[in-house]
Amino acid sequence: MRRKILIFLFSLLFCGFFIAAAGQLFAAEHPYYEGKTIRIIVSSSPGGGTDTSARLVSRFMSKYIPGNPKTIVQNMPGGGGTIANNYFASEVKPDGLTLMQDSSSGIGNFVRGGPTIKYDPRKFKVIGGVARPGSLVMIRNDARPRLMDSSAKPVVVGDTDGIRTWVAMTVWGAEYLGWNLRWIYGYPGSRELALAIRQGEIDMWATQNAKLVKDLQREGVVQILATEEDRRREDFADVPTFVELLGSKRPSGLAWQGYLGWAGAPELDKFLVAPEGTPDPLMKLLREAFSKVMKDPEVDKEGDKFFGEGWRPHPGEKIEAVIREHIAIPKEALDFITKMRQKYGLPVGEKKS
Amino acid sequence: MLEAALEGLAGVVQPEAMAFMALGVLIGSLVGFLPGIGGPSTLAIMLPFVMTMKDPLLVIALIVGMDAVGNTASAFTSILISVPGSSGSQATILDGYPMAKKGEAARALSASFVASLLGGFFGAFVLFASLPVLRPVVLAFSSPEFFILTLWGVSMVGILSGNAPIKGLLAGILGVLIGTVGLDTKSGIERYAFDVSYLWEGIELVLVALGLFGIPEVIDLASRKTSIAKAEEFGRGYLEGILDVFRHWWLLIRTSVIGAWIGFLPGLGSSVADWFAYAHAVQTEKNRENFGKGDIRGVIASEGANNAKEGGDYIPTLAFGIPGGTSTALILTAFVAVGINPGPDMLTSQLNLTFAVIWTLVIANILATALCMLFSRPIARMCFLPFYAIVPPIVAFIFIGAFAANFHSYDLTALMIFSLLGFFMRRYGWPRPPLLLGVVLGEKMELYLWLSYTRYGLEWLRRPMVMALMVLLIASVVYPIVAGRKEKRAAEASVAGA
Repeated sequence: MRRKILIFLFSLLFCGFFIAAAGQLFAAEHPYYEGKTIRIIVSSSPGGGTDTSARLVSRFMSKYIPGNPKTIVQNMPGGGGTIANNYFASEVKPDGLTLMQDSSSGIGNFVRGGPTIKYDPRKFKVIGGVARPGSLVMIRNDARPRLMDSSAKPVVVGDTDGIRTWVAMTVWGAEYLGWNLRWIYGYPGSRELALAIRQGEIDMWATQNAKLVKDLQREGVVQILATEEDRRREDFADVPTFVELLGSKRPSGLAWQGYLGWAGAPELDKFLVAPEGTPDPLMKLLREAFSKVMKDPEVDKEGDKFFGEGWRPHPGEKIEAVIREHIAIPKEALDFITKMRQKYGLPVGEKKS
Repeated sequence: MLEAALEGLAGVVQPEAMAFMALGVLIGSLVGFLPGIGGPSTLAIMLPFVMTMKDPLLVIALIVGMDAVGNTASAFTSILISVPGSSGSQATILDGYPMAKKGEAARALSASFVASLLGGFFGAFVLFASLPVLRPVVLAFSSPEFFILTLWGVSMVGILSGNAPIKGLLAGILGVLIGTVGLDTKSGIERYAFDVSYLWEGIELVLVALGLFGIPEVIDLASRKTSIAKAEEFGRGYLEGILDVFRHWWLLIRTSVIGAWIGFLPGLGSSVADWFAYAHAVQTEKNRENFGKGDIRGVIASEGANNAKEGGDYIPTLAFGIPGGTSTALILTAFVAVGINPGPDMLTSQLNLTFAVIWTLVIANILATALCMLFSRPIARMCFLPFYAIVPPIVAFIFIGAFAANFHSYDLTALMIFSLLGFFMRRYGWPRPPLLLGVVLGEKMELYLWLSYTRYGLEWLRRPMVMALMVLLIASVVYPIVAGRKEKRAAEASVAGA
């Protein structure tokens, strides 16, 4: 009887080895992605920067992934990326077949916290990202005289959710430069904001989209106040950085830490992520493909068309590190941000325990 | 300008462009015919291919051609089986399906296709005529005006569909409430989602439409144990339908203006043009007692408007690069990829491409109408099939259409719930259209009210255009109620006199 059991166990083991070896062989001959489709969830509505970068990457990814899978893009807008991020964290399997194109808003929402945040961006595995040159904060020409006049009607800043990275410039501008501002938020996306600034419903807004800014300038609607990054943009060389604008009024210590915590790192713009638990071999494959996509001359050309010159790709590992660093800002700096948001009537999330 | 117009025409009638346009029309018609598969998702699938094309004229021919005709073929299912093929043909059901039941499917279909064709022409004409004044017109509407328009839409359809204005308004309010389900897009706060991730994104419109209209009619058909058409003949309706459109030319022009107008307002969305036009027809036409029971004017109004809307949709897209809806947002992405620069350039250096869009709207509509006319007779024959042959495929059709919304098993649960709601609403005389429109406009209504209040406080109520729209809104709500009571009193008096 014992012998029979042993023989049975050995046979089972043999079968296991055989299947595993056959699997390896099969995998060698048939790449994992062959005949499969990768779904890329976009955390915003169609037509914006996040959507455009997802569509650009998705077009070329299949070319560089062994097995040449098909790619489809699915928009899941809402809550400044919260809906897509929550869904991605709780519903998506780590099989490399569903990815998400996210933006810095997803990180900003997490830092802000609150009961609706059911994801942790540190757990996602970043495949790679693109960073456009910093946002350009614009003001309507007819509202410019009111900016420094506290007796005049406040200049209206418009945003989707009041937590975008560039909003930090306006809040610190109000606090340290005396800008006369008030904020409204809730616009679904950049196309509605572009219309609102043309209509005069809002007076101040910022975007990284160079074409849009140039159009608005050419139409005589706006003038540019500053750029978000720590160095001037190549395509808007005469526009000062926000730090230049602050000059000697630039705060130090906690106040500046808070600003940097909100404004985020320049690398954090649009990035492609895989869910927690995605196996390392798959991550390696996807990251290599992303890197090759970014070196494709056609992507380089098209990227200039959509993002403006000066956009840069960043490897996934680097963005992962930046996200961790960004989220790990000291509690005191986070409290400072909350205090500023409360002071200026911007949404404040509940603190995470 | 004439030179640019001719250049645009020459560009889209070249054989290669015509072939792409024919392909676009074919895909657009097929997508319109199949419920659940929306134009935007098809455009999204095609986008990677389109973005690799080099010639902007071919891109215009293909995707503008496809987008322009989605609402033409969608009338097939709206009229024949009470299932909207696309969101733009929801109002067509109200009179189209009763006509099919009366054995006038051919008449309803031919009228709908010709109305679509002429509505499409009208939209293209509006786009052409508005070129010099595009910008100020689009800029005149801000959040407060959009809020009043959404309010107007729900209340007008609530009052006018069916003979129970109060029930209609309540159904509209219920629709608005259903529209709030999901995560609030401003704050991410969960509303009526009960921690179910399926509900975070809100309820798909297609499920509400299929449930409210599709299943209850199938149950009715099965319980009647007849074919869809009670009359056993195809009738002379085919030519009659075409002539109907010309008989009601003034209605067609008015509803096409409404369609184009809704289209060019970036913010109202694409699925409301037919409802606004239908409500306008009910409100302004004489002898309106037949609306909802198979009046050809209901079909003409809805179908004329939904195609005219497409031309209007391109106005903000081309003038500012601000798409009117999801489809135009994707088209815009493709345009930028192939070097078309929406914005002021479209009226100067790229005027020929603007004209290429206009010509494509015209030619694609002709192609789609010819295609639909060709197939209308064989497809319309399904009205004469006995119930046991037609009910199972329609049920399968509806369930597949519903499952295509998210490919989630909850899609089917949601369909069942709305089917039950639709069945009871139908049975107890509650109008269903306001509920559907409430779902369509609820989210926008809330957004524009929020933006109006946070931006202007209560000042927005004093804006001249808001006040003008409020007067129109109140008049359009109060007038039918007063007129209805007057008619009722007159009828009672005549009975008492007799």
